[in-house]
Parts: sequence; C-alpha cells; structure tokens
Amino acid sequence: MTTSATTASAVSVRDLRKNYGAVEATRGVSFDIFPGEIVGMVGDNGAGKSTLTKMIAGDVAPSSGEIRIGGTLVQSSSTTWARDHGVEMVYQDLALCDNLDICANIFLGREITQRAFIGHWKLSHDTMMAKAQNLLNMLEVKLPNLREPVTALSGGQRQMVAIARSVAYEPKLVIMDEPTAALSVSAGQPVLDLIRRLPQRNVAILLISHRLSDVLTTADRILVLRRGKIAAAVRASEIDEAELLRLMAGINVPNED
Amino acid sequence: MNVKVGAHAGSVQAAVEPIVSRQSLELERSNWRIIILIGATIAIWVGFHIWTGVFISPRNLSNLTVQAAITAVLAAGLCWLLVAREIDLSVGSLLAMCGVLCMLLMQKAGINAYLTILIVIFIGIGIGLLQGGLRVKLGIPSFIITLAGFSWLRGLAYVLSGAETLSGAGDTFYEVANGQFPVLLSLAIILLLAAAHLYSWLRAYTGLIGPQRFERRPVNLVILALSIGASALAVWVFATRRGIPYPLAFLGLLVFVMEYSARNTRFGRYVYAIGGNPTSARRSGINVDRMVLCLFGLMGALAAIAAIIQTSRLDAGPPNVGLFVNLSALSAAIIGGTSLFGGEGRVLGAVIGALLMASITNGLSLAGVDTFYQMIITGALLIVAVSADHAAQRRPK
Ligand SMILES: Nc1ncnc2c1ncn2[C@@H]1O[C@H](COP(=O)(O)OP(=O)(O)OP(=O)(O)O)[C@@H](O)[C@H]1O
Ligand SMILES: [Mg+2]
Repeated sequence: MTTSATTASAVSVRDLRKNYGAVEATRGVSFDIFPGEIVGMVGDNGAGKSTLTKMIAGDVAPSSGEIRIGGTLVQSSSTTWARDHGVEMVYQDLALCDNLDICANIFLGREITQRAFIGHWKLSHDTMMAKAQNLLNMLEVKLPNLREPVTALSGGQRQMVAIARSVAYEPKLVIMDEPTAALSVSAGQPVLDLIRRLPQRNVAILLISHRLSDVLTTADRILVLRRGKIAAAVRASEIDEAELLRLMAGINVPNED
Repeated sequence: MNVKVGAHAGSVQAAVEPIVSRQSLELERSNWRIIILIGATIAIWVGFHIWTGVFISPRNLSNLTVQAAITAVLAAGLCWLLVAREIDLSVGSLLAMCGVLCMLLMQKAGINAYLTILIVIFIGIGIGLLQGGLRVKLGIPSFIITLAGFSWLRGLAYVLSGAETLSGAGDTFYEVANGQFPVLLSLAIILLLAAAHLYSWLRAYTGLIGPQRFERRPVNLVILALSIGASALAVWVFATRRGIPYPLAFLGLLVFVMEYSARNTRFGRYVYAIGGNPTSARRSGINVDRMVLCLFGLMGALAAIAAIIQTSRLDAGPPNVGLFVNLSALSAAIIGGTSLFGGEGRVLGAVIGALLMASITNGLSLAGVDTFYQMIITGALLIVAVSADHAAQRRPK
C-alpha cells in the first residue's frame, strides 16, 4: 500500500468505517488516488462502494477514520465543502436538469454573473456559452446546439455533459458511480473514451462499475471491495475478468486477517 | 443530429461564432406557444366584437385589463410555484383575508391608505412564509399545507370581519384600482416602451445597431410585428380618453421583472432547475428549501396585492370574495402553458391565459349570456389547451 506519498495524493482515505446500526457498510478501508490516475472500484452488491463514495463526497459522515482531500483533512462532512475542495461526483442518473439547456446544466449552481443596471447580478450568457464551448472542445466532446435543452440529447450525450460539468472547475477528484449503467454498451463507449481522456487534465478519477470489462479497459488500478473491506488492489494490465470475479466473490483467495 | 455537419464546418464557423451566438431553442418554443395564445385571444376579441358590436372599444378593453389583473397577478405567482413543483390552493382565501384586513385597518384602526397597503403586503408575505416554512420544515406536500390554508384563512376572514362586509375606504384607496395615469403620461410611457423594444430588437437581431447577437428567425419577426401592433392598440386604448389603469401598470412591471429574472438571474434559473430535477439542483449546491420558502413569500405578497386591487375595485372587503379565483388563476397558468409537473411555464403565458379567460367572461356578459356558460367554456378550454400541448410535445420526438 502507498503510505509515504500521502501529501501528493488527490484523495487519501485511512481506516474508514461506517456503521448503519448493526450493518457495517465499510470496515476499515484505506487507499490513495493520485492526480492523473483512474482507479476502478468493483465489488458485489452491498459491498459498500456507494457508501464509500458518499463519505468522500461529504454526503454521509463516516463512523470513524479519516479522509484527506489534496492533503487537507476533512473535519466535518458536507457536500458543499467537498465540492469547494475539488471533489465532484457524477451520478448514474438524475444528473441533469432536463428542462435547462446544455450550457445552463454545465454551470448549474456556479453561474457566472456580472453587475448590470440598478446593481443586480445578471447572468453572463455570452461568457458562459464561450466557456462551455471551450470546455467541450478541449474534451473533444461534440454536441449539437448548446442552447438545446438536454431532453433532446441521447443518454450517452447526457452523461458526457454530466462529466464535462464535473471537470469544469478543475477538480482534484471526480467520483463516478456507475456512469454507464443506464447506457447500452455502444452508447457507453464514447463516455468511457471521454473518461480515459480526463487524466490529461491532471484529475484523479474513481470509477465504480459493475461492468468489469469497462473497468479493465478504462482504469489504471482496480480496487476490489468485499463486504466492506478492500480484498485486493491490482493493476488493470495484470488481471483478467475471471480473476477479478474470483476476487470479488472471495473464492480461492486466502482468508484476510 | 447534425454533429457531422458542425464538425465539417468547424473552421468556417469559428470566425462567425463570437458574433452570432445561438438562441435558446426552449425559449423559441415557448415564444411560439405564447404567440398562438395571443392569436387565440385576438380571435376571441374579434368574435365577440362581431357578436356584440362593442367589445373592441377603448372603454371595454381598459375595463377588461383591470378585470384580468387580479387573476393575472395570482396566476403569475402560481406559475413560478408550479414550475418549482409546488402549488398554492390558499391564494383565494388569503385574498379574502387581506381584503378584510384592508378595510379593518382603514376603518376600524384609522390607518391611512398607504400604510395599510404596506401592512397588508407584509402580512401576505408573512403568511406565505409561514406556509412555505411548514412545507419545508415538516416536509408535508404544499398541496396539503395550502389546502389547510384554503380553509383556515377563509375562516379567519369571516372571524375578523364578523361575517360582515365593510365598505367605503376613502378616495386614496379607491384610486388604487380605479385610477389611471394621465393620458399624456400614458402616451409617453407607451411610446417609450415601444421605442425601447424596437431598439433592443434591432440591436439583437439585425446588427444595424451594435453587434448582432441572434439569428433572424421567423419567431422574432412575429414578435416584432406583435409588439408594433400591441403598441398601436395601447395608444388607442390608453392614450385617447383614459390613461393606463394603475393595476395594469403594476401587472406590466411584474411580468417584466419575472420574465427578466427567469432568464437573467440565478434565482429565476434555479426556480426552473428545481422544477426540472430537484435532486440535481440540490446536488449542484442550490438551497432548494430556501428557494421554495422565497417562492411562497412571493406568492403571499402577490395575493396581498391582488387583494388590495380587488378591495379597491369593489370599494369593499367582503369575506366571501374570491371563492373561485384560486382555480381560475390555476387554470390561467395552465392554459398559459405551465406544467403541473414542474419545470415548464412562463409568467407571460400565465398572464395572457388570465386575459384570455377574462375576455370570455367579459364578452359573454356584454352579449347578455349567463356567466355560467363561462365556467363550461373554461373547462373546455383547459382540456383543449392541455391536449394541444401534449400533441405538440409528442410530434417532434
Ligand atoms: N442508508 C442506509 N441505511 C442502512 N443501511 C445502509 C444504508 N446505505 C447502505 N446500507 C447498507 O450498507 C451496505 C453497503 O451498501 P452500499 O450501497 O454502499 O453497497 P454498494 O457496494 O454500493 O452496492 P451496489 O453495488 O448494490 O450499489 C449494504 O448492506 C446496505 O444495505
Ligand atoms: Mg451502489
């Protein structure tokens, strides 16, 4: 395990535990993710993946353990704090406001404004349009008219808007909880391609997916979570799907302490 | 989609893009909808004019706007509440309660008209915030909270008034709904607004004045034609014998501010974001609870203002006033294109919906037809408007 380079890591998690009453959702999880790295996380249903991501995103308070974002220790759980410190989350669904256009969705909650008459703050439509276009160009995402409501987009395009939105403010860590689960394999492909391009922007990515092939082709490292613990940490290039399945199920693996 | 075309023409477009930014397609769609609604209203006017011979006259149209204003002010507030997936069933009762308060404050407490107006608006905001607070803190659907309000506010109106109708509030208060701006000032206001609209239109769409920001699409030409027509009509109605009625001036200001905010402020955008997807709005850092609270406060203020107009118009504060105004205002908002499921709707549409409904009532009473027919027509209209929306939404998919 990497313990020496804590200060350089984008996120560092130490002995993180969460109990829901008698249920131990995570039982002492530790790992680091470094800038420019895609880390995949796999595990059976109920292994604790979502709980883990929610704790890092500030949505759920850990029972014990510590989280550092870019070296800063998280004192109290808050999604706004996490966002302000560079943790972004891409959700499987419910990610966008269907009735707003692409540009409005990318800037939702962080609109750029300027002073206008009688001193009120007016949305800077032109600036936001230009920045959104810039961002999408940089990410090589091609979309029709940015003033089109996102209802008009396909599932894959919507997820790309959600991902573009998550990296718009130079985050340290982007957590993606099953970003392709709602998409067909062919629609998910451009989304995975986009995810692979993100490390160029020096962002760390935690990718959670039940599609092992997606994780194997996209991630650099893979963490296997089993019953709230990390059962294995492997390089994606050194493992295949069958082996991964065995690790997830805990077959043919010596008992962990 | 024409992604390939865009990619192919990329290098050519790059030079043009900074000048002509694309317009919101959603806005264009809702503009067409409002244009159709205005067309329907004009058709109704012409129909009634042929029938009665007196409908399209400065006197009647001026009356009509004041009649519509009360429902329209409520419909504007309801529009935003509906957009944010909330509802208010108590506005009619709040209107009656505020009307009773107006008369009590002036007659029993001897407070002057201006101070009374101020106090009543604050009480309206207070009750709106109370209901919004209950909604947010207890997490009970606004349908239920305001259904309770529908009952207890009406009861309060009866208790406060002792079930009696106080009337006669004095000249100052009477002027609020029955007074008008002087004719010359009205003419100046209309011409100024027309000139301002023409200027901004030329600027945005033609590039004749300043940089061209939008494409010249058919919808924008129709808007220009409508605004010229509306200005001409306004000069005839409001600048010949009687000026612009105060309630209409307030309504106009309200529509402008709310439409402007919807497009150009964070608050307005968040109202729509919450309606589109409350979860996503919350995750984006929008304080949904505070927004909902503000919207209920705004609704309270608007209900109080509608009450002031109503009370001044009748020169009385009966506790049983506005029994149906709540449902008419809801109908107006829905006919105007507001979705009951949130995220969709415009204040301008809701207000024109109110005007359309008032036109039917007014026309039927001019024709000497029982106003009961108006209820039947409103019902039919609701179904026609909503099913037309459904049909229009299904087609492009
Ligand atoms: N809010 C909660 N209250 C009680 N128990 C919970 C809660 N959230 C999660 N759990 C429990 O914690 C454990 C881990 O759940 P979690 O959602 O993190 O798993 P997961 O790995 O994301 O599973 P999946 O692959 O199904 O998404 C499960 O046993 C679950 O029942
Ligand atoms: Mg999960």
